Amino acid sequence: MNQAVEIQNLKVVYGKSFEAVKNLNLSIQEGEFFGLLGPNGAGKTSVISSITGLLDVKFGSIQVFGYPAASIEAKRLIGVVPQETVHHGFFGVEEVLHFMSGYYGIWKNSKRIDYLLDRLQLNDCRKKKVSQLSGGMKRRLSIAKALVHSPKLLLLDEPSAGVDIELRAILWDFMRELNREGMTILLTTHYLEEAERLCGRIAIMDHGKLLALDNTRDLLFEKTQKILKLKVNLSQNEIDLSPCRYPASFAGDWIEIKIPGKVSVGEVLRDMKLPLEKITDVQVEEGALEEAFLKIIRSSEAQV
Amino acid sequence: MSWTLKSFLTLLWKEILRYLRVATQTVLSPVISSALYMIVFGVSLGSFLQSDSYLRFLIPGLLAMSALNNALQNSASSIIISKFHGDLQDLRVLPLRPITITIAYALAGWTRACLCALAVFGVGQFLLWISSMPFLEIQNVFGLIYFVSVGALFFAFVGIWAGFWANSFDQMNVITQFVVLPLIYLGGVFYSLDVLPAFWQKVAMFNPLVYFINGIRWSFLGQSDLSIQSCFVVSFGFLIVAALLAWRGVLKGSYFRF
Repeated sequence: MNQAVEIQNLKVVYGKSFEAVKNLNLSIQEGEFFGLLGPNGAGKTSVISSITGLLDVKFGSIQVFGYPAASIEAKRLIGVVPQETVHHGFFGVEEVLHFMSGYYGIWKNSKRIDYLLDRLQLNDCRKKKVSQLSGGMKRRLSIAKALVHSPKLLLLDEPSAGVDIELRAILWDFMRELNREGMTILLTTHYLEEAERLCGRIAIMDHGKLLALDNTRDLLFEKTQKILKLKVNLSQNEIDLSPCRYPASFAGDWIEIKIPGKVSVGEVLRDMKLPLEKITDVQVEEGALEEAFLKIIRSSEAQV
Repeated sequence: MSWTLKSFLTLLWKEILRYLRVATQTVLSPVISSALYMIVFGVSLGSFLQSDSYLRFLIPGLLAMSALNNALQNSASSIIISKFHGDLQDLRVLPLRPITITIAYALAGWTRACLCALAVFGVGQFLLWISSMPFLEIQNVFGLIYFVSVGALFFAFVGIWAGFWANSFDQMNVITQFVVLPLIYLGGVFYSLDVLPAFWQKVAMFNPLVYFINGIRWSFLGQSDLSIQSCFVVSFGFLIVAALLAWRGVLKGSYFRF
């Protein structure tokens, strides 16, 4: 599989000495749905700005489908949804999309524009001036702008901020569909449950450093705990929790055991030596990305 | 047609449409100020001086002032407003070369300058007609097209540089009010350089406006304070410098929202 983005030793420096990104090495495969996560000030937007050409790459290198970042060839393959929405004071929604198409050399693009306005539920305000739109509508317009030329790589910098829950679901369905059709997507978001559901791979950054990079499943597996719940047809006096190597406690009729994500349920049951015929129900609550995220960030802060 | 040309024409058309959307401010308003100058200085002062020729002297100067000032305002205000709205960042991530952006903005400024020049010329002719004076004839059409175009492009380029350099409306005001406006008023719009003391005549030689205004006045009246050959050469030299400045502004300037 080809690489959509290849970042080598990227360093982004603001002013004389503030390093927003420190020697970042990262590659995103073509067709991936990739999540770049981190707290505020982690350096995510600096990475996206460097890929798009908004920031000059002074240290290190970035290739987009084999072309240097900020080259015209690379820019033609990229669609960008920036973190902040913009106004386009003098123009209407439909006009802005026609201009965007024109910048990519596409003059007759009504079909695509109609499709995007429809999918992003902007049809009713197609003639409205951008300045008259609500924050959520402007956000959707930003997405439509990024997609007018059917880019191969879509960069989404906090795209669902300010968008209501229902619309967010519609938006993510659309993004998933685009990804299935082959579009590579790089997403930064504060909604970790979104990243968990959408992204095949996730990178976590903080203070400009890459702290973790793995498949979402493996990241959860390595960095989270799951809660194993057992309903046993025995009284608490008849159950011995001491053979269990992991924290276990009674919660009403249930036994709750916190086990690392990578430990199998069978292993725990074997250790507990419970008579299987007495176990009437088993539930497993998987760990969430939020837990992994916090664990990684906190352990990095502890090292500092 | 290549996609590069299409993207250039799209940006140019967007910029033209932008000022046409607010034509009351961008075209009508400067024409009205020029008309007022003509009435106050040309008609009133002319009759006070018992001279018919002052209005005829003034019209080419005001035409130049309106064209050049509007060329500058067009690119500068478009860029600074785009920075304020945040959509200037789009230009940086779009597949547009710096040279494409520079030329599109400059040509948009040139079209506005031409529109204002035509309108001021029309108003001037109307005022001559109601004052029972003969119409102003163009002595050299090529010269007029050359000096209006070179002057408008020069100022549009300066406006592009200023727009990318400035990071607030205040900074933009510093350039327009403290640099450009004095150059315009001291460039010989209202007077001939011959009336200035020798020292100020020498200082005026550093003002690019002097060459553009004299060139435009020469195209109408056939007379100039300076040698017309030097006006052709020096104004073109200024144009090249401004074009390089604008290109550097587009290449290195700030696209970020303020």
